[in-house]
Amino acid sequence: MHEWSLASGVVLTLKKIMDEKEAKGVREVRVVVGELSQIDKDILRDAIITLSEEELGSKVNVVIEEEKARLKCNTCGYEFGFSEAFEQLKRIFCPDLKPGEECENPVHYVPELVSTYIRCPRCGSPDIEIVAGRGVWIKSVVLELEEGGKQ
Amino acid sequence: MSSIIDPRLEAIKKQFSKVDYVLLVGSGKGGVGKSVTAATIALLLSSKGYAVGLLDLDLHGSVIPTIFDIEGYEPEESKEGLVPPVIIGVKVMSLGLFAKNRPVPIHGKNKRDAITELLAITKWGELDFLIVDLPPGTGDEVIASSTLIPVEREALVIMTPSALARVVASRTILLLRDLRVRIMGLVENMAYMKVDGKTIYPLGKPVGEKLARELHVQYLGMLPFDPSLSMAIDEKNPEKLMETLFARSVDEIIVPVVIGNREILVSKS
Repeated sequence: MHEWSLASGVVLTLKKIMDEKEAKGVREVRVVVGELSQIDKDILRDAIITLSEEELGSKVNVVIEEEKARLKCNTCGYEFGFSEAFEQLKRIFCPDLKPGEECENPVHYVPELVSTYIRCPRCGSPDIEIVAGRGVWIKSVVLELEEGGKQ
Repeated sequence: MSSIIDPRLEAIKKQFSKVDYVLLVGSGKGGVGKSVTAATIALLLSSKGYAVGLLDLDLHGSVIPTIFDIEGYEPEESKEGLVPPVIIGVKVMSLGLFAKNRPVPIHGKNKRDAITELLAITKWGELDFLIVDLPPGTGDEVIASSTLIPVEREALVIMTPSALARVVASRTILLLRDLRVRIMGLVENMAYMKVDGKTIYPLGKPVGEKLARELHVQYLGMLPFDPSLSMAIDEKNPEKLMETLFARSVDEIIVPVVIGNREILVSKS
């Protein structure tokens, strides 16, 4: 469900861009999803399509890319990915997780909380920085412009 | 067009579209009673029939979930965002609801991102007032909340009667002004006690009125040092908090100004 509020942010942003550029519509939006946010990409895509139809008057072609998470320990410099972080989240929130099941955890809502629940796998420090793979953002938009519209 | 665009900024505008008025409650120093004052203002406004939200942005020192006894609560999910728990009519949101009494060791840009996320995903709905509990100091939380919250906002600055609190309260006021936040007023907490009919000043002579004059802000007055307040907080009983001398003082000197200022803003818009 959290995916719907993110989708709403994407569609409202598209509307703002359309207005600024005096465009007829949006042909395509490319959205990047950080791995850390554990977003269900299919729900996000469907939500953007549904909301774009309601808010913009036509369906938008949605391309979703995933950015792998990279975390860095500011104490020892160790860099690690989501799988190492997820092992720790799993131990706390879903120790009996079965294949195909989702592990509900607060990092899904606020990715920065990773340093609340994760320690550096090498030195145990909580001073962890997100280098890549947080949140959701718009990478590119293809607009349908009116003749004489702004580029 | 191609450049990185953050969709959360439009999401924040939507989440705040039905919020009339935002009061940032800040202080320079910690331990001056800022969170308790913010919670009390929210509870008093709610008791008068207003729709009220309370947003805890004291990321590292969050106590709002403890005051409201909601440490075990999970915000409910909906298509429009996370629905804050409602306690005695107050919608309460805090990163503490996700951190569950663990430390939140985030800094710098990550802190701003966490606040942006929280603002973008919290579904406030219609609110007459949103009270924001800021952390002490002049760091990321103060800057982020002042710049990201897209509706009219004012600040209440709380201090205690001490030379140290005075210095840092002054810095907070100067920063908020630079951030284009109107200062609603300055209040001096834990300023006096009544003992055997006499007024005593347990922390020393009040200094807030002079500071307010120097900085050209409204001095709202003094709040009492009230031992019954800590008992109500220890019991995690917000209803008892409302029965304290402290709450009666907040109701007399702060709440009417908050209500009056909102009415002016609403009538202008």
